[in-house]
Amino acid sequence: MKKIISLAFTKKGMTIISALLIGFFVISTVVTYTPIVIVETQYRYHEFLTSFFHVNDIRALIMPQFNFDFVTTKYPTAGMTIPKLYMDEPIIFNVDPQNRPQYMAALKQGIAQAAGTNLPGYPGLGYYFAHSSSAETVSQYNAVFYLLGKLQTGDEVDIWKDGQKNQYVVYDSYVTTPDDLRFLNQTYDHETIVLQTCWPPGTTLKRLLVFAKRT
Amino acid sequence: MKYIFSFLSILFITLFAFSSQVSANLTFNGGEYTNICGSGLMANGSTCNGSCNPTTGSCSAGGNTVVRFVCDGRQTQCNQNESQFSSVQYFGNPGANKTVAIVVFSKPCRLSGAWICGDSDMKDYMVWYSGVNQTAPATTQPFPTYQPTPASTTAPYAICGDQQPVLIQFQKPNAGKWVGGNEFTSQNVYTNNQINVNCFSKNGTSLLTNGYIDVTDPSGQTYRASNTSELRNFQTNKVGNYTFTCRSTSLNNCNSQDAFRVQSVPLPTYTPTPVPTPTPTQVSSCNSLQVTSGNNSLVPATVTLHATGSDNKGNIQGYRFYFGDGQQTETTNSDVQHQYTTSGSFIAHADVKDSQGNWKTSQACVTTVTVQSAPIESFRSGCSDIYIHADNNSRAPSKVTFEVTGYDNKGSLQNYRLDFGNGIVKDSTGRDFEQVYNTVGTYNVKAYVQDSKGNWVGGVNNCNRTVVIGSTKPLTAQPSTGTPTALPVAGAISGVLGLSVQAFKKRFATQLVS
Repeated sequence: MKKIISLAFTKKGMTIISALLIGFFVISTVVTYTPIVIVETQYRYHEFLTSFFHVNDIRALIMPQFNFDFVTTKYPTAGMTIPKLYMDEPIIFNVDPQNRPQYMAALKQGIAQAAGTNLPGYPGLGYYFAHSSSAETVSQYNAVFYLLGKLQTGDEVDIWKDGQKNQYVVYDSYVTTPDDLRFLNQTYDHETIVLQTCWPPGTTLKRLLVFAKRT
Repeated sequence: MKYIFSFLSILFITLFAFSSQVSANLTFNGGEYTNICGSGLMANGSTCNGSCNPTTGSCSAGGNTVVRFVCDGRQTQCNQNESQFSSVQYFGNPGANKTVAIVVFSKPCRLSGAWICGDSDMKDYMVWYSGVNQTAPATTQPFPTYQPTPASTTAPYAICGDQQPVLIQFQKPNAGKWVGGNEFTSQNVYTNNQINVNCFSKNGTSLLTNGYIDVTDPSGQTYRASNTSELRNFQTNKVGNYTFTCRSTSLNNCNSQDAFRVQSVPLPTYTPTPVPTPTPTQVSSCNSLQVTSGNNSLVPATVTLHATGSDNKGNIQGYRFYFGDGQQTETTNSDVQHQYTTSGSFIAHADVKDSQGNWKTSQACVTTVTVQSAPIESFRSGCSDIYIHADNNSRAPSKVTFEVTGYDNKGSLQNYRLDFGNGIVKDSTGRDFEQVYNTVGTYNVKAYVQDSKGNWVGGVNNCNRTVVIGSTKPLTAQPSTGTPTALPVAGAISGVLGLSVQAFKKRFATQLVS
């Protein structure tokens, strides 16, 4: 032990220690923010194509453009599309939000629908949640809901189930504490969904809730 | 019947004279009155309280003591009940063996309706016992007339003189004008209003010197309202007459009294709140599905279908047609054309999308389309659709009903088969199935039809659906879906430490062993 301490106070020892510390900083930064950067970059890319070239896909610049709008989805059986965010992700229904291993496994695949809340097509509240960031960079669905903060009143959210599109329109959003369950205890006469993610991205400090009503 | 009368005149004699009086029993009206507790400062409320034993002179707490507290100040400084000096003082009918206590305080004790004097303020105290053989008739008895004499140390009061005339007047805050009682009453003074009172002198040109203001409220209680000639924001709590009297502590015959009446707050005029018309519960339905043209045409047949729906809270927003041949379409038009490329009988369905965005269907929105066979047509059969309806909002346990449709252009379908996705598979000659799902989950349901040649076909496209059965377990928490905050925080700290170590190494490079 003495030897290790004395070694730490040598030039070489300090170089190793500082390299390890800075290395951990770099790794934690990469792990935390890479999914965010990827999602943000993809969003900016699509936004650039849309605003400058009025196309949704780069191929449309050299080929006749087909309709790449979100009139359909890759996940017609269980999926969510948000045209404004260029988002098309699968949904895993009936995920227990109080069972962390279960919902973490579901979030690796996409968006989780909380068990105990309403399914599309039925009046009441449907509760959907996904990562805003994740330490699991290997998963392609990390940071699915990172862009939720860009949604505004009137934006469209679609949930696909059994081949049917259920269309919703955003009417409210706010940031709250993790233990704020008021929205769960309300009565919703209209079919409503709430999209939830951690906020700000890269933390678990608060929750962002986006509410949308069935059109 | 026995009566006790107390000699109020003794209240203002000097302590010395008083002490000399209590040394013997007093006999009056056939009764014998014994001072059993002494008098003066030695006989305070602590040592002589309650009923007393005339033989031993000792007193115990509680009992039938009749207590008369008398204020020592000028009559105007005392509460009316304690200060009315009279030649006759009547104590009711306490009976024999009763004690009358008389307390003299050194200052006015009833300010703002509350007693503020204690033992330390006591100037004199007497307790008189009524005796055991009272036989006096129940009459009030005259006592020697007493006129209070100001203490010799007190300077004689000055005369009001040039302060006249003295006038008490009232004002509503911020109202400006000072008025007398009658006019003030006409201004409608209500309970819980605040008022101002001034005691003017010299015909309203100034305030009365050394003035104070007493008030008698509607319940008859009189108390000091102000120790100056001004009273501000006095709250009128009761309905009735308030009488205000102003006097001077230094001038005689300088006083004024006036009264006004306080009314109860008028009840607000009741304006009935309009009762909102109850919003009717939304009722919407798919009412009919008809083949308007092309029925019984030869294949390929173009058929027009017409669906109707109703919604009591708005319009039907859309229509969804299932043609029964595995094809479907969604439109905002209630009429739709479809080309059938296979002959046979097809069971068509329609759903309508109501104003709330919910899709509704019913048995009225099911119809059969018949397409005649062409002379030369190859054999075709298939499973068209599964129609699913779950009760209990698709929450476990949920009874789910299924309707399977198919077609066969060379004959009739023989059987229907449904794989419920939970390990149960049922065959039936009818196209309707029913299954109860007790467990939460997503079930992949596949339907098959057995055609006239005995082949089972289906399990794909619209005959392959999922049934999601939700949970009824109440949700009690928001899940954590972000990167644990500790990770980036630890990373940042680590980075700072790493740079610090580097800086340390550079700073002390010469002192470190390489």
